[in-house]
Amino acid sequence: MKRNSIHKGIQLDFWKVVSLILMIILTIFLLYPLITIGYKSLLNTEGQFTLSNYKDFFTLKYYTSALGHSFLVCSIATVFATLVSVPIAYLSSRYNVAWKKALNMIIILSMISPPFIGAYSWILLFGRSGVVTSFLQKIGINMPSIYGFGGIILVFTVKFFPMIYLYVSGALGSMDASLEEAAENLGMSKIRRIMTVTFPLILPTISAAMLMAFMAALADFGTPMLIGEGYKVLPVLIYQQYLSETGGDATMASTLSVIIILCALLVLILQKFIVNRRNYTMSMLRPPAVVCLKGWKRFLVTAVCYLVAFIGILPQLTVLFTSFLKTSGPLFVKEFSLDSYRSIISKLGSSITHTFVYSTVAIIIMIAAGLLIAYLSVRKKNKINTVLDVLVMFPYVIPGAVLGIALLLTFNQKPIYLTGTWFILVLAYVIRKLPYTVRSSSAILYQIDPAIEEASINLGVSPAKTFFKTTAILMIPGVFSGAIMSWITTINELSSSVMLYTSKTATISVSVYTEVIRGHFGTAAALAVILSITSALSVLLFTKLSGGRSITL
Amino acid sequence: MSRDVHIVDAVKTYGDFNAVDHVDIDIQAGELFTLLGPSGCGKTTLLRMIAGFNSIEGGTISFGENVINNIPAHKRNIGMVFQNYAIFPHMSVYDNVAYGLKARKLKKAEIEERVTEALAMVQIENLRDRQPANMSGGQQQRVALARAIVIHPDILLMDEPLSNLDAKLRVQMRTTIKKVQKKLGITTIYVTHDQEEALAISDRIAVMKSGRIQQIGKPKEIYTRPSNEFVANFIGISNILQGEIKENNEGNARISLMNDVNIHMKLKEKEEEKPVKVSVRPEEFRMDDSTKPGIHGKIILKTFLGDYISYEIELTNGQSVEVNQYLKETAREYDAGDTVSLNPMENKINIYDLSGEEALVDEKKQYS
Repeated sequence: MKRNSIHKGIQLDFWKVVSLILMIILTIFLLYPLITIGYKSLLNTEGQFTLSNYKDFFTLKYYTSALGHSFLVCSIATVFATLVSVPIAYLSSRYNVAWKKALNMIIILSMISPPFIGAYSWILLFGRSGVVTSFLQKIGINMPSIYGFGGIILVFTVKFFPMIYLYVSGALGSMDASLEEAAENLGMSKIRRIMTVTFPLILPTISAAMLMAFMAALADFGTPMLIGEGYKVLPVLIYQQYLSETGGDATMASTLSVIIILCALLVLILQKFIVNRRNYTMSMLRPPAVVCLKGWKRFLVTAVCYLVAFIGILPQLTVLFTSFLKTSGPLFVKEFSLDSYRSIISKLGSSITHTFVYSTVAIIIMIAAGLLIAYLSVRKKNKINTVLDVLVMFPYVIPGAVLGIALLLTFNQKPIYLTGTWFILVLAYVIRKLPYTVRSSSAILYQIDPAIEEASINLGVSPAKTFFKTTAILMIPGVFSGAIMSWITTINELSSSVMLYTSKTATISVSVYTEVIRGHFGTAAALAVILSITSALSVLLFTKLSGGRSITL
Repeated sequence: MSRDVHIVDAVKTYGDFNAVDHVDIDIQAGELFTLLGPSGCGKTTLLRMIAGFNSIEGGTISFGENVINNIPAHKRNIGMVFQNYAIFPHMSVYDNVAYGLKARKLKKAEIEERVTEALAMVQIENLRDRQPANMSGGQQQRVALARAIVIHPDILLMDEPLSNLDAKLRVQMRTTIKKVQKKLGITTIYVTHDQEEALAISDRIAVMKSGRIQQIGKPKEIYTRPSNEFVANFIGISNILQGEIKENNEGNARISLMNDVNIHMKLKEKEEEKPVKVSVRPEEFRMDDSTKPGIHGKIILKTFLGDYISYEIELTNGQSVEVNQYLKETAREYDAGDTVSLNPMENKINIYDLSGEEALVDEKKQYS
């Protein structure tokens, strides 16, 4: 029997080549750095093979306590954020909360705030010399300290509840109304309906959202760095360890990096294990009805939602306000001025240019790669492309600082010397933020009929051309709704930038960080405002262009 | 230009399962040929092998003299209508239909002319500039048909093209398809699981099951002389009754039906005395009062269906059979609860061996 090899070969060639090229790129820029960091963690300072780093980690209290701290604050903050966001999501999606679009916009905006702006603002308000603290002291009330354990939890809770809110309200809004009606029809009271039908059905979404929040908190470097003070968590330890080891081989920093990746992986696997056993497919026939409240009931529900949203956006409001204050050294004076803005344009203008140039290059690469990778993993399922998909998603669990160290340790020598270049920043952005674009692109691909492509091929257009004439065009809305998320998180990216930047490649978020450290709070605030406004405009522009389509997390 | 199609010993394997299992079919130029069978029988797999979307793992498929096994899908010059139409949602009707012509790099004026002609043929000239999003299923189906025929394909393939339409529209589109096909004289391979649709539209039908051809023939042949029990049951309804060949005298056989009634038929001469299956369609029974000879039964359910009445009858041995009585030829109407006597029409019914695989009737002599 003759195998039909020629025909098969021609049809798959284009995609095989694409898949091969992507695989090589990912191997060099993602897999190889991860292997390097794993390898370094197994060396001692003399370069000999040893397990002593791991032994140190698990026996020295200095390290184990940081691990414990990380898990403790992240778990507690995730639970708090869930407790805040789920009821609010329920209220806002099932009741006629006033100005609902504005509410959602505020929550989206508070989610995309620049990193550690939260911590920084809370310090401005409730820190040792914070506005609220001093005010309360005058009337004789002493606030508990905001630094350390409690402060990290507060900031994490406020920072990550918007993310859970968006996931959960999305799920609540797309639930089939007839399920709840069936429960009502069978005689269930309202509260029991929520507990027996609504809540179990959105549980997978909640657990996925909690996972995302936990991961983000675990990887967050800025917040505990600023507000944690003596309370050390893993990312801070990694950063300090790396700085203290520069010149050396950074073996302990590598070890810590490997451990934090393993922790994140463990949590991810646990969550997958739980969710995969309880995943429901629902056919959405009718969206759930919105209950119309009147009078004070409506007012109360609206007030609760806006209060929470206000707390979420408070850090950004604080930053916005202080950016217009006159400063004298590190202190704000009670007088308005645009000095901070003038000074960033004269001194820090290049960091603004850097942010936009690097992010633009990165997003172009992400859109192209996202389009192709999503297509390969959805339409051309095979072993290689499955590996490709997993590899691309893997950076979800790699904290930015860890990726930064991995890239530095790998590309600081020939043949690939990238340390200190702008390219290494772009590389880190692409690796870290690509998952958003890929996920959203894959999601829309599942909604596009594969027969569309067959129709085009059948009409005489080659498979490669067909992709660009049909599927690629139809994928655009999905690609962009993911890319907008990639874009916003890229311009705000700090944790990898702070490892990789040099004075010639500093970005806005790096400058915010260094300005805060130097005590230049005014310029830091002004820079942060630029980031916030750009993010807000990006979201607005996207919602406008996409006709009200929401961004994909 | 229309072409004849030859499928020789075609095989498609998934793992160790043969989705298409050594299939041979010859299709004449200009014929509307249907692959009919239940889902999973391999009909769509075979169609996609012809289109080039499934590889051909054994045997050959040729258009005229040309073996197409190794020609990539986009160079086969085949028109195809997909089950869910696969209209390009980002293009107007005109651009959809012109798509294949642009791929062939025709001149603009010629594209214009051919698209207009194709749209006219499927009666949707007025939809020319519409976007597909706000078009009905029937309209999309017409666009899909126009898009497939406008490239003047050697072969036209249709994959369950009517399955997403409602019943009335389905009959209407069926007529349109058949008219367009005859007018263009284009060799067409049509896939469906709907036996009524297949009988209505086809010049010839291949009935498939488990990747194998069960029977190839004209609609009437397949209906009146199914080659095995599966085909008899899949095309229309057949009541299978137990019987036994009592004598076979050079093809003149006497069969005892349920040890009750003797019937006389022309069987193949070699058949000897043995138990057989007797296949009787609902309209192949004569129904009389229970005083007359025949197999006896009691009417359980009577269903009025317009031009005929369908009775469900429980025979004395407990078996249920379906019997149709056409209004215009009805001597007497019966009611539920009545007992009746049934006699099969000997010139129409079919006899199979006990496995149900082999037809025993001598076709040349039997059917009138």
